[in-house]
Amino acid sequence: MSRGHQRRLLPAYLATGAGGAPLPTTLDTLTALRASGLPLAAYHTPVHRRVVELVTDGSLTAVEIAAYLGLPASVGLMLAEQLVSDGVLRASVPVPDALAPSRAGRPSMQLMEEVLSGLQSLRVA
Amino acid sequence: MTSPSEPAVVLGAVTVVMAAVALLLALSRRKQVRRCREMDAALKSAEARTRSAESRTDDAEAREERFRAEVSHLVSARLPALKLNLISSHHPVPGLLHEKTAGPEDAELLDSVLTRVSEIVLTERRRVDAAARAALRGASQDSQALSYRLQSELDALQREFTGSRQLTHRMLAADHLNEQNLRLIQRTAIVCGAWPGHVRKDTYVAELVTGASSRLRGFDRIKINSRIASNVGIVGRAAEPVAVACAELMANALEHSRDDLAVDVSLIQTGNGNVSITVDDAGKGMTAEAAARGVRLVSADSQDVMLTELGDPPSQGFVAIGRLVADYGFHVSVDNPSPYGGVRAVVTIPPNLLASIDEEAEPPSAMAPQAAVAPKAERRPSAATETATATETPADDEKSRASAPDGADGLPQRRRRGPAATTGGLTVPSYRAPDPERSRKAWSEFQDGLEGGRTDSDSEETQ
Repeated sequence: MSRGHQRRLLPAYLATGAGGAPLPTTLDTLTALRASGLPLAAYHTPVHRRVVELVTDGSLTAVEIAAYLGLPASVGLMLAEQLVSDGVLRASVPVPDALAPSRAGRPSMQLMEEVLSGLQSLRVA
Repeated sequence: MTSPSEPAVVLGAVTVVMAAVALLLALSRRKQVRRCREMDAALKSAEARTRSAESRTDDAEAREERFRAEVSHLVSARLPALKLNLISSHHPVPGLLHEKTAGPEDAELLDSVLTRVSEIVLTERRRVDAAARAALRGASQDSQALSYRLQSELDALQREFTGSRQLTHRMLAADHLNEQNLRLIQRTAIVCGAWPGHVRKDTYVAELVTGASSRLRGFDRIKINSRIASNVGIVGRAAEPVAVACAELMANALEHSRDDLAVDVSLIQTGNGNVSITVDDAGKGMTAEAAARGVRLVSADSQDVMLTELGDPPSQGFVAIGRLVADYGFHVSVDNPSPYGGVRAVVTIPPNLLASIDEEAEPPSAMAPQAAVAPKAERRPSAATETATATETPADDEKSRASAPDGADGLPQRRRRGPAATTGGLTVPSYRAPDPERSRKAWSEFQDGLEGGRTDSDSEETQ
């Protein structure tokens, strides 16, 4: 991490550990993550530990985790993917855009509910 | 009167003359004999002189012969031996050919030739070495600066792009390669007399050692255990030198232990305030000769090591450490065996190079290992609440700073926070807590006993 004009002392690759091919892209920057309760293994870095610590009592997105730890967002995503594939973190799908009521050009939640009730009434009928 | 006869006169005259002549003859003969004797003596002494002159000539010739032999011995045997001796003192220089018969002046003269030659060779060697070092230093400092720029560039790239994981992965790999390259260049520059390249701020010891490990291939195998207070740092001017020394020692440890073995690094603070960074490897250890050489190189007082003495390929690690030790005043020892049979290297940082860092103003990075809880605090459960409140003050700061969900229960390595985690593993407090049933029972028994005793004594008194 760089501190001002200082030369960086701790490079970001320390967080992910060396070696290993990158995992397939499975997570989005807004995927919520929480701890699954599985213990960490010996090959996990102190940063892995900190990530699990951050999401033990609640969930955070990968970007938020990266921001808390002062790491690049891309590295935060890599960390999250590593931990999800190890089973230490559980990922849940991002909040659907449809739930946001005032998104320009998207149907509102109210409209979707009306459509749903219409469909249900069709099926009942 | 009778006049004498004429013949008588003549006879008389002749007799007189004869006598005179005889006298003269006798005199002259004596002179002759004396002169003869003198001549004889002169002749003898001349002969003796000639003889002594001849023997002296022989002596001189013999000495010249010996001297010539000594000089040719000097040229054919002693000077070539001196050449080897200047490379390594294992090669002895032979003495004079005729040690006993040679005059002291000759011996001195011949030895002074050797002294002068070795002086000239050494001076010249130092001049050439200094030139080589200057050239190498210039090149490596330029290269080091470029590598730092590349590092900044890669760092910025990593922060800027969140695209494909493949790209991130390769950028991290490139960053690591550049970091390894940087270590090699920086080491060469230091061996050639350059300064480490930049000054840091005061830096946490744990961060510094972690940062040093990131410069090595196989940094995953380095396990850092910190047992020092988390706010202990190294003053800025010594931070980078200590990092370089640690990186070299860890590189040695990684190189000399098997690929599947971890290298243990532990950080402790000793009673006299020094911080010790101990690097243990499980390699084969060093031979006595290698250890002695290592000790010599990393000590502060042998800094006239030349590039030509470093071997081929040059082993620069210890020399770089030695230069930093001499310049910055910390201490390195490499001659202890490790508990695993390899080498234990210890970097000792004296209190004057340590600093206490405000953890709130400069929070430690998530990438450095956290300090383990001091074992002393874990042992006494009854005092748990007191100790917790006493140590809570720094911990509190950290808690508020982290501003994230605490989750103390899932974290074995952090300092103790939640009472559940503490009491969970310990059985002692359960019966130390006041239990009304037990107290009532104890007190009523006490009272019964007391009353029983009183009634007994009362009855005794009344009897």
